[in-house]
Amino acid sequence: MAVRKAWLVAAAVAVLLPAASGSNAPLEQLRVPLSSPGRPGMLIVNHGRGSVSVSGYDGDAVVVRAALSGSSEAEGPDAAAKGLKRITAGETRLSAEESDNTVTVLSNSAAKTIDLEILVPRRFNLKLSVKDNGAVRVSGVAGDMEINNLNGPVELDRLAGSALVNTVDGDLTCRFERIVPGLPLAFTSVYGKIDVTFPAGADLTVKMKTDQGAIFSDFDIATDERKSLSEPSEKAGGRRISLEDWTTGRIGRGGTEVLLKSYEGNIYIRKGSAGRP
Amino acid sequence: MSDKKKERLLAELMRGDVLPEKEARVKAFLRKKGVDAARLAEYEDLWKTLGEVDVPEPSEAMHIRFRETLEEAKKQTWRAESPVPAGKKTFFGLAGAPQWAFAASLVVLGWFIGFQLTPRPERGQIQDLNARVNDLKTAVLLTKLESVSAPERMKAIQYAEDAAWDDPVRDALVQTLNHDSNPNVRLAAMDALARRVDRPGVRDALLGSIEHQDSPLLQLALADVMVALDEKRAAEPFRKIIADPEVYFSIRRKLEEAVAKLL
Repeated sequence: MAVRKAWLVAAAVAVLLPAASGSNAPLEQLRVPLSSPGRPGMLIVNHGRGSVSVSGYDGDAVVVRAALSGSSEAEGPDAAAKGLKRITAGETRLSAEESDNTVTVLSNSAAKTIDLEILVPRRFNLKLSVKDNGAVRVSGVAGDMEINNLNGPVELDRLAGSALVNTVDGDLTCRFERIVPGLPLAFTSVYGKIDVTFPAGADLTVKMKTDQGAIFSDFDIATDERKSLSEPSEKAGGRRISLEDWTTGRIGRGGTEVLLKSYEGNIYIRKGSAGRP
Repeated sequence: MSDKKKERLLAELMRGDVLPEKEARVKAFLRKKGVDAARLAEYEDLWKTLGEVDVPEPSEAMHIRFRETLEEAKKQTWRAESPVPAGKKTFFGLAGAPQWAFAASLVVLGWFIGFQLTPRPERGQIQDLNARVNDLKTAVLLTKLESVSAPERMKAIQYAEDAAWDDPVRDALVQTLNHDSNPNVRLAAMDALARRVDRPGVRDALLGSIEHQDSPLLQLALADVMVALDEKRAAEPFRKIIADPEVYFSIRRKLEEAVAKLL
């Protein structure tokens, strides 16, 4: 197997923030060509602090724009800086690597809040992870989504592919343009609400659970009890272990598996229009 | 040649077909062949007698019988020469049906007996094949669990819920639960294991995975399972997580509740 040598497209590009008063002044832009344009690729972002927004577009390269948040300490404009001109700013140290159509975006977001805006070809897989201080937004990308945002919200729009989404605190909103049969979907959170919209006419097997919240849907979901695989004889005389507190049900004819779990948040399963929700 | 010639010449002589100038030569030839004058006179008498026999004219009834007989003979010839239409008539005819049914049932019975009596090694082969397909399923499952694609690993766990349960499957799920990069895949693996908690090694594997989990989702899910199992040994690893200053306050509170239930 010929492994392409990863080539650093732009390493350690340090750009001083121009003396702008806006909190999200565009700072640096990278254009990362793919080694096999036209074929699906993957974008990997392991972000410390700040938002990550990804949109599908008609190009065949990955375009990354980074902006340092107005204040690396707080999300809003620095109240203490009101009326003052910015003299210096931090740096984003934005860089990206490409190898075999996989683009990895790097920045020093562990130390500063950096917002990323990324354009990818419409058929692309995304693996995005944000720890703090930002939202993850994806729009118009058909591919596999693996998204983790510990503390912020996740908003996914016009999806077509698999999605494995997890937050701790953030609310989760996902709208599917199309379901690809057989590709699993999972949405989990500890405190966040889970709000998913599937096309009308989708065939899904949903498995859902919330401890403190409630589950709502305008789909007709035929629920059924899931049976434990443990043999009763092995625990004869023992007490029944209640692990099967998932609710499972079918939307349409069932099929593609959807896992929905939130400890504290409500779960909303919405019916979109047939083609476009 | 001599006998045939003798008979022909004799017959010609009787009918008077022999020319008078040749009669002497014919008679001499016949005499040489043993037909002397006395014998010749006998033949002449017989010939005369035959000429006197009254030959009846064929009657009208005889004529009709002949025509009928001829027609019948023609029909029989036609049947013999055209066996298909003749056979069809018998095959579909009422008289033929029971015979055919009987013949057909004999064929079916024969096949059935033959089928029952023949040793069938392929039955064992089918069971063999099933076992091999199961092995293959397990192999695919184990391979998929190591895929770089998270959805593929998620699918593998969905397969595992229906697959034959054995130690390699269990170990692969435990490996995924402890080390997979995606929390949703880990949660699915934990759920698949929790459903088989009565199988050997599963309870201990779940217990042992608590210390590997840094995701609040997995920490809380395992706490739920441990409380449901009343697994008191879980209190210790949960206390370690609670002592970690990085753990969120609200998660810590939930874990403390779980530990309190276990003790």
